[in-house]
Amino acid sequence: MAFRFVHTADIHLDSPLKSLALRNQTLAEEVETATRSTFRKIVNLCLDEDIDALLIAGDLYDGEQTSIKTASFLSGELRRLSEAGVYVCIIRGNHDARAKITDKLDLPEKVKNFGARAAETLVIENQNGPKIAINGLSFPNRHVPENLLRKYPSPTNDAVNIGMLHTSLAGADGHDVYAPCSVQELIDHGYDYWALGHIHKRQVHSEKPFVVMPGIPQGRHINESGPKSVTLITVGDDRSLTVEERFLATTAFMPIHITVSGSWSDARVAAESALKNAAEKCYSERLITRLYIEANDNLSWQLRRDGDLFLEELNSASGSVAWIEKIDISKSTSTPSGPISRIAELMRQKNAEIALKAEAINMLNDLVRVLPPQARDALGDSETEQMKLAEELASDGITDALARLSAIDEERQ
Amino acid sequence: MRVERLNLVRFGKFTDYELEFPSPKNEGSDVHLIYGPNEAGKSTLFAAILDLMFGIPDRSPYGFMHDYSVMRIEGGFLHKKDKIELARVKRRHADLVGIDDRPLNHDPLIGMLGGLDRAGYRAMFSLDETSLEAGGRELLQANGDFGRILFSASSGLSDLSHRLKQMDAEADAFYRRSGRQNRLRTLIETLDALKKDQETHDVNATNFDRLIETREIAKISRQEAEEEEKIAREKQAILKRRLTACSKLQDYRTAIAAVDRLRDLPEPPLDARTQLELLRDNESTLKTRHTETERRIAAQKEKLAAIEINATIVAASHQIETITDLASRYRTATQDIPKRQRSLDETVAEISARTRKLSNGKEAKPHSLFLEIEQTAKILELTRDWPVLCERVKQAQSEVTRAEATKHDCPLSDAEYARLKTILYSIRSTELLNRYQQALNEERVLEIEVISAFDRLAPWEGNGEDLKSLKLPARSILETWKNDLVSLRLRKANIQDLMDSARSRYAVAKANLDANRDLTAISDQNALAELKFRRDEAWGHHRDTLTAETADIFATEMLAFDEAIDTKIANTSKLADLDLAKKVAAEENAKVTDLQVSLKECQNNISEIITTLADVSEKLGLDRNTAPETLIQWTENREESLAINRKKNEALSLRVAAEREIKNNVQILSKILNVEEDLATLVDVADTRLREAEIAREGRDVLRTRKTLLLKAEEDLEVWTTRWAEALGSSWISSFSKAPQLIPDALSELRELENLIAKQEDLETRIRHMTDDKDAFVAKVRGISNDLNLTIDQSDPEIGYELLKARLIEEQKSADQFETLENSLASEFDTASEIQKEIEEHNVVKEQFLKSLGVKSLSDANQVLEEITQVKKSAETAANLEREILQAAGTENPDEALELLQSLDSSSLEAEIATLDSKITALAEATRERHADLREAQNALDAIGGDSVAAALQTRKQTVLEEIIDGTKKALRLRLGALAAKTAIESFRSEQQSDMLKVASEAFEKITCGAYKGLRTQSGSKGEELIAIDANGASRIEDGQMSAGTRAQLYLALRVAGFHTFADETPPPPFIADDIFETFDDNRAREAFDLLAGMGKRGQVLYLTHHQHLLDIATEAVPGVNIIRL
Repeated sequence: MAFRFVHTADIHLDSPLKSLALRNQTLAEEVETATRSTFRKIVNLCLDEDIDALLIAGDLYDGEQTSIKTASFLSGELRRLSEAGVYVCIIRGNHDARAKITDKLDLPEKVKNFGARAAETLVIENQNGPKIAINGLSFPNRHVPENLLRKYPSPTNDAVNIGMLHTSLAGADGHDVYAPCSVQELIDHGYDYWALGHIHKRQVHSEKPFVVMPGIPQGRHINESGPKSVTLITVGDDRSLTVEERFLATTAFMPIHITVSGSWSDARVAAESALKNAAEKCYSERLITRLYIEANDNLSWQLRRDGDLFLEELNSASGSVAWIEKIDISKSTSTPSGPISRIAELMRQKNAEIALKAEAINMLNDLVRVLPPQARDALGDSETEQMKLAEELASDGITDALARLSAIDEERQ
Repeated sequence: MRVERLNLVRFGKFTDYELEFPSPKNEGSDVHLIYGPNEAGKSTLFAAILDLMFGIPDRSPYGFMHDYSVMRIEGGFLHKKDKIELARVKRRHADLVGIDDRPLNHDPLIGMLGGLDRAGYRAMFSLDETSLEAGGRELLQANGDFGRILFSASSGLSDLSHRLKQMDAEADAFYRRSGRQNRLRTLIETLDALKKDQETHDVNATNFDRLIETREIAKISRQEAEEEEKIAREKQAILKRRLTACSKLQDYRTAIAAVDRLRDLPEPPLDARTQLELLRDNESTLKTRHTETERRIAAQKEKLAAIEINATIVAASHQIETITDLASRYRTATQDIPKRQRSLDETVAEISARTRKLSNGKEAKPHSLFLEIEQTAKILELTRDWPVLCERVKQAQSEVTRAEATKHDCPLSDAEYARLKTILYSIRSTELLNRYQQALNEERVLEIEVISAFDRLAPWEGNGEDLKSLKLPARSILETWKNDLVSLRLRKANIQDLMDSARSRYAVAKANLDANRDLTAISDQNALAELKFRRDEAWGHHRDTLTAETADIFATEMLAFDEAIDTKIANTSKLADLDLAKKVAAEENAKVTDLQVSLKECQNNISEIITTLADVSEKLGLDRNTAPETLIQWTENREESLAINRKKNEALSLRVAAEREIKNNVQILSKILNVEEDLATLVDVADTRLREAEIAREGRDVLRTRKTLLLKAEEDLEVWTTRWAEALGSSWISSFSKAPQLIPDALSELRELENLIAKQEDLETRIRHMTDDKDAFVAKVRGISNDLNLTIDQSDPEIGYELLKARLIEEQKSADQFETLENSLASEFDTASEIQKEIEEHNVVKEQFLKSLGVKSLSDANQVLEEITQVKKSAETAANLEREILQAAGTENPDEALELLQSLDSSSLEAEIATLDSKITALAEATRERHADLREAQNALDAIGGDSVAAALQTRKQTVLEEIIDGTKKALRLRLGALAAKTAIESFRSEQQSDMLKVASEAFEKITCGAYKGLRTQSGSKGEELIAIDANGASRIEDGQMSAGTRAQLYLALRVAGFHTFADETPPPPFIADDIFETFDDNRAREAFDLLAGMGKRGQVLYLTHHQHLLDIATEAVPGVNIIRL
C-alpha cells in the first residue's frame, strides 16, 4: 500500500499576524487565529485523505509562546490524528527548542517527539510496501551553529529513509545560521527524502533524492507573501516518491504592483482589477495585500496626499476578498509644475535634507520614550537602523509635503 | 499663456461677438490696445475674460439680455505649445466644456494659470481702477509682510501656509508632547487594555504549574481525611458487632444442645429426601396403571366374544374389485354392441358397393383391387406430369403455327445481304458523299484563286503547265544579283571617290612640282651629277688646256655646279617637300591607274547583271528595265500561283476519285437493288431492304426454334406414354390407361375402400371383445353366487351382482372390526406385563432405601429424615453464632470469646458507639470538603481548554502595535515634511523678494520719469516697510505725501514686478488693464506703455481704453502694438 505523509514546518502556532489591514474588525475576527485555522486544516487534510504520517520539521510554535491554551489546542489536534492512527513526527527547531510549553504538552500515543541528544529512527512497517524509516533530531537550544547532519544515522536497509532536519542550509547574509549544511551534503547522506524546516519560503532543492523546504504553511505578514502550502508525499510500493503541494493557508499575503495614470477613478479601476486578479490567484480564502502604485505626476501627488482615502475606498469596494493594508506610492522623480518647483528644489537640497535628517533623529528619540516597548524596536533598534529610518522619514516627509502643496484641491476639479 | 481668440457667444449685450488677438510679428510686443468709447462694452469684455478663465459668478450682472442658462463665452488659448479651445457656460458644475460641449476631465486652465485663483489674478493681473487701488493699498498696508503678500499673490500660493498648518495639525492629532488627547495615547491605552484582557483569558506555563500544585495538595488532604474517617468507622463496627454478639449468647447455647441429638440418628444418603419423594410418586403411579390395564383387558375380551364371522364370504370378498370392474364393462358392452353392429353392417354394404364400382360392376374381392404402394406413387407422379406434357405440346404447336403465319419472304439472298452491308459500311465509314462534296467545293474555290493568282502575273499569260515549265533563275540567284548590283554600284561610287581624291592629291602635288620645276631640276641628282661631270670635264679640259677659255668654261661650269649646290643647300627643306610631292604624285598616279582598272571591271559586272535581268524580264513580257525587286516579287507570285494551282489539282483529283467511287457504288447498288437512282437514294433503299431482310431472317430463326421445341415436347410425351403403360401394368387400373385424368379419383376411391375395410375389421374386433366381457361378468357373478350358495336371478346378472356386493361389504366390515379388537387386546397384554416388571424393580429400590434408613415403610422414612433436617439446622445456627461471637471477641478461641463477651456490659458499649457516631459525621464532612477542594483545582485545570481567545487578543495587540508604528512614522513624516517646506518657502521668499523689489523699484523710477529714484524696504515699527525715494533722496511713505497719480504708478510698478517674477517661473497669464492710466500725464503714460511693451515680450498684455490720445502714445511706445476698435 502506498505510504502517504504530509511534510510541513514553521507552523508558529498562535504567533500573531502583523498587518495594518487587521484594523478592520471584520477581517480581524476572520483571520486573527489564522495559524490555528491552517493547522487545523492540515490535520483535517491528514484525516480526510487517510494520510499515514504528519511530519513537522521544527518551529511548531514560538519560544515566547507560553500560553497553555496553545499547548492544549495542539494536544487536542494531535489527539485527533493519533486516534485516527496517523503518526505525527515532530522535531524542535530554533523557536520551539526551549519553549516553556513543550513539557506541558500532553502528547498522545502516535506522536513521536524526536529527542535532541541523538538522532532517533522511527520505523513504520507498511503493508505490502517498503518499510518507512523516519530519522529525526531536535534542536537542544535556540542556537545551533554546528552541522547536525553528522549525528544522523546511515540509511536503514530495505526501507525508504526520511530525514527531518531544521536547518538554515547554507544561510543568508544578515541571518544567523542554524544547523548549517549544504544541499549536496544532504543528497550524499543517502536518504530518500529530506524533510527540512526553518526557511519560510518553499523550495524543492533536489528531486533525487528529494530535499524539500516546505515553507511556512500560513504567512503572517507581507514579507511572507505568496501562496503557501504543505507538501504531500506518496511513497509507492515500488519506493517511488511523488511530491505535490497542498494550499491550505486561510489567508494569503501578497504585494501588488500597479502603474496608473489618468484620473483618480482610473486609478481605482486599475487597482480594483489588480486586486481581483490577485485574489483569484492567491490560493486562499482571502488576500491581504500591500499596494505599490507607480503613478504619473499629478495623480501621484494626489494619491500620495489622499492615500488613506484611496485605501478606504478600495477596501470598502473589494473587502471580504482582498484587503489592502497599506498603499505605497512611488516617489515622483519629476518636480511639481508651477512656482512650487523652486520650493521643491530648495527642499531637496542636500544640506536641507541633512538638517532635516538630524531633526528626524531628534524627533525619533523624543517619541521613542513615549512608545510602548514592543514598538520601539520598529523605530530603529540600532544606531544604523535609526539613521536609515531617519533618512527615509525625511525623504518621504519631503515628498509627502510636496504632494500636499502641489496636489490640486478636489473642489476645484 | 495667451488668449488667441475670444467669442462672447451670449454674454451681456453681446451675441456671438468675436475678437482675435493675433500673435505679434517680428520683434513686436504682444500688446493689444482695445479702443472703444463709453458704452462700447469694454467693461463687459474685461469681465468676460475673467469669467472665461474662472467661471461666471452666481449673480453675474451680465445675464440681463441672455438668460443665465444660455450664457456662454468661448475662448482659444495658447499655452507653451498647446492650443486649447474652451467654452464657459453658466452652471454650478462642469461649467467648463469643450467647444463641442463635451465635458472635460479636468480643468486645463488651472495648470495654465500657474496656480492662480480668481482673487489672486484679480489682485495682480486683472486691473481696473478699483483693483489697482485696492490691491495696491493692501500690498502697502501689509507692511512687513509686503514681500510675502506680493510673492504669494503673484505665485498663486496664498494658501500654502494653510496647508502646512493642516499638516502640523494632523501630526499633532497623532502625538503632541503636551497634548492630552491624541491618537497615540488612545492606542497605548488600547494596548494596555488588551494586555489585561489577554492575561485574564490566558494561562501561561507558570500559572499552569501553580494550578497543578494546588490540585496535588488538595488530593493529599482529601486522602488524609478519608483515612481518618475510615479508622473511626472500623472501630465503631467492632463495637457494634460485640453488642450484637452479647445479645445472641443464649441462642448459641440452645443450638449447641440440639446438636447432640445428631449422634443417635443414621447418616442418610445425600439425596435421601429426593429419593423418598421419587419412591412415593413411583409407587402410586404404578399402582394406578396396573389397575387400569386389567380393566381394559376384561372389556375387550368381552367385545371379541360378541363378534361372529363367515370365513367363506370373507374369502369371496377379495374378488369384489374384479367384479366391480367386470360389471362396469358389462354395462358398457350392453349399451355399445347394437350401435357397433349397425355401424359394421353399413361398412360392409359400402365396401361391396365400392368394390363393384372399381371393378366395373364385376364381383370381386376388395383385396384384389389393392395396388402396391410404389406403383401407386409412380402412377400418381405420371398422372401429374401428363397434363403438363400435353399442354407443352399444345403450346409448341400453336407457336409454330403463329411463327409460320408471321413468316416473311426475304427480299435478299444471303450473299446480297452481305454485299449490301459491306458497301453501305464502306460508303458510310469513308464518308464518300461528304468527301465528294468537300472536294468539289474546294476545287471551285481554288479555281477562282488560281485565276486571281494568274492575274497577278500579268502581262505574262499562260496556263499552269506553261507557268511551271517557265525556265527562270532561282529566286535566290535573283536575290544575289539584286544584292550584287547594289554592292557593285556602291563599290563603283567608292572607287570613283577614291579616284577623285587620288586625282586631286596628284593635281596638288603636280601643281607644286610644276611651280618649282627649276628646283626640281636641281634636286635632280642626275642633273647635278651632269653639272659635276661637266665641271669635272671642264676642269679636266682646262687642266689639260689651261687656257682662259677653258678657264672660263671651267669657271662657268664650276659656277653652275656651285650655284646648283648652293641653290640645293638654300632650298634643302623645299627640296625635301618637292621630293615628297614627286613621290606622292607618282603614287597617286599609280593609284589612279589601278582604280581605273577596278572601275572598269566593276562596270562590266554591273552591265552583265543588268543585261541578264533584262533578258529575264523580256522573257516574262516585262519591260527590260524592270527592277530586280519587282522581278523577285513576280517570282514570289509565280511560286504562290503554282502552289495554288497544285492545290487546285489535288482537289480536282480527289473529286474525280470520289466521283469514280460513287459511280462504282451506284452501279453495284443498282444491280443488287434493281433500281436506277443516285447514290443517296440508293443507300436509303438499301437500308430499307436490309431492314426488311433482317426482319425476315429473324422470323426464319424463330420458326426454326419453335419447331425444335415442338419436336422435343412430342418426344417427351411419347416417353411418358411408354412409362405410363409400364406403370399401369395389367391390373384393373389399366382400364384407365386412356384417361389418366381419372386416375386420382380412382386412387382416392381405392384409398377410401381400404379405410372402410380397416374400419370393418376394427368394428368386428370390438364387438367380439364386448361380447367376451359380458360373458365373463355373467360367469363370475354366477360362480361366486354358487360358491356362497346364494340364489340369484339369472335373468339379470346385474341385480345378482348388486345383492352379492352388499353382502360382501357387510361381511368385510365385521371381519375388520374383529381384527382391530384382537390387535388392541394383544397390546394391552404387553402393557400389563411391562407394568409388572416395573413394580418389581421399584420394590427392589424401595427395600434398599428403607434398609439404609433402618425403617420399614416409606412414611417412617419420612419421619426420620424430618428429624435429621431439624438437628442439622440447629448445628448450622450454632456455628454461625460461634463465628459471630469469635469475630466480635476478636479471637479464634471460642472459650476465650465466651468469657470476654460475658464480661462485657451492653450499656457502656452502646454509649461508646454513640460517641463514635458523632465523630464519624464530623470526619465525613471534612472528607467532603477536601474532595470539593480537589474538584475545584481540577476544574480550574480543565477549564483552561484550547480556546483561541488569547491568541486572538495577541493578534489584536500586534495590530495596535502596527498601527502605533505606522502612525508614528506618518506623523513624523508630516512633521518633517512641513518643517522642510516651511524652511524652503522662507528661503524662496527671501530670494524672490529682493529680485522683485529691484524690478518694482526700476519700474517706479521709470514711470515717474525719474521723479522718484526707486523703492526700498526698511525696518519700521511694524516690521519691514516699503519706502519710495524721491529725486532728492528723501523717503516718502504712504498717504498724503504722494499724488493720486504717483500712487497709482507705484501700485502699477508693484504689479509689473509681480508679473516679471511670475514669468521667471512659468509662462504668465494675460495682463489685462482697464484704463488705469487715467491719472497719468502723457509722459508717464508713455513710460507706462513702455513697461507694458516690456511685459508684452514675456506675456500677453490687453489694455482697454476710451482715450483717443492713448492710441497715439501706445503706437509710438509699443512696437507692433495691435489696435482693436470695438
